[in-house]
Amino acid sequence: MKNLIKKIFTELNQVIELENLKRLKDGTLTIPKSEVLIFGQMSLMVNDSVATILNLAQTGDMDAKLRMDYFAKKKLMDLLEANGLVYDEDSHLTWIPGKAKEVELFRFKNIEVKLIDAESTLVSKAIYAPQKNKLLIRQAIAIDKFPDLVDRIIENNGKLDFFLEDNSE
Amino acid sequence: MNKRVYIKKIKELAQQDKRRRLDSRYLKVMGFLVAKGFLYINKKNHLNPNGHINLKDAIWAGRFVEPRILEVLPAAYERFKRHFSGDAETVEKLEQIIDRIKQKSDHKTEFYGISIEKIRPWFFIRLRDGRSKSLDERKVSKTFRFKPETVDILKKLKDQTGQSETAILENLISRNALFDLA
Repeated sequence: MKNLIKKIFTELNQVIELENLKRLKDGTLTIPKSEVLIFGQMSLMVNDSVATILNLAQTGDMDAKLRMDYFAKKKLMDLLEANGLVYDEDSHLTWIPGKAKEVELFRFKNIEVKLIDAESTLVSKAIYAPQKNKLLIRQAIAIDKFPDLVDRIIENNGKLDFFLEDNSE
Repeated sequence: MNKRVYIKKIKELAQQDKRRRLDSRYLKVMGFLVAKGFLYINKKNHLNPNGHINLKDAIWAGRFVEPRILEVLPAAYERFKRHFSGDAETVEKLEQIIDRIKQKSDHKTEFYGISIEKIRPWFFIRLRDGRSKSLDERKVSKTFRFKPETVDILKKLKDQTGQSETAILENLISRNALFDLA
């Protein structure tokens, strides 16, 4: 997934570069630097620090906060679609817990791509999508690699009881 | 129950989850869905693009291991029906979901707890094989009765342009539709 995301943003950077050269030649305003903040399952999938310790699966859904002009956003949507991915237009509804940190993923001339840190993503999932992420949260707690995960779930009124429910066959 | 007890119990359940992730039903279904491009995983798994999937196994894997399987299963079933088999009740549930998506119905419905809004996008994504067409790209079969002279003209146009009769008609209709819209 990380390679696919790198390929998409590399192409987007090139498209913006060409468009800016054209605009400079025409004497019109160039496209300002874009910022992308990825969260949700994709932020875990592309994060090297967790990709080896957690079992992750994801659909082609990209949750992200985009700070970019219309031209760049339209090109990004086209590139995602061409690669079997979909931008979640409800991304703005995703809850990001306090103390979340932004981690740099890629830096291009025209785009900066960042992630929410893995522990904060897990807290968000434990609070707002526990059913879908029950096994993931149990694994994250069990491996002892996220020292504040349990405390942050409790602090944010998450229900640890829920993760004790064994969905017996 | 204090925090330490919670963590101890969660760790016990995580061991059971680990065993379920090694279950052949889960591995086979994931191998198929990942190979086709419906799902992505971060661990190596044997890809199974030509496999045959029992719907009962897929639903087990979705309910007890990875709920995202249930999100994409209706779309995978719709696009690769020949790869699936299952009992009449499950097939009917899937067909109901597929009909609602084809009819763009607003009717609130769900598939094993997954809402139709979460299921819909995967009917329209571009898949890895590049051959299977998404719901919005697929051609629809229609029958028309033309006058013999219209059929002759169509044949002549086909010979002259090298295009199919369908392509000629589609071009004419889209050109006229653009005029009408203008």
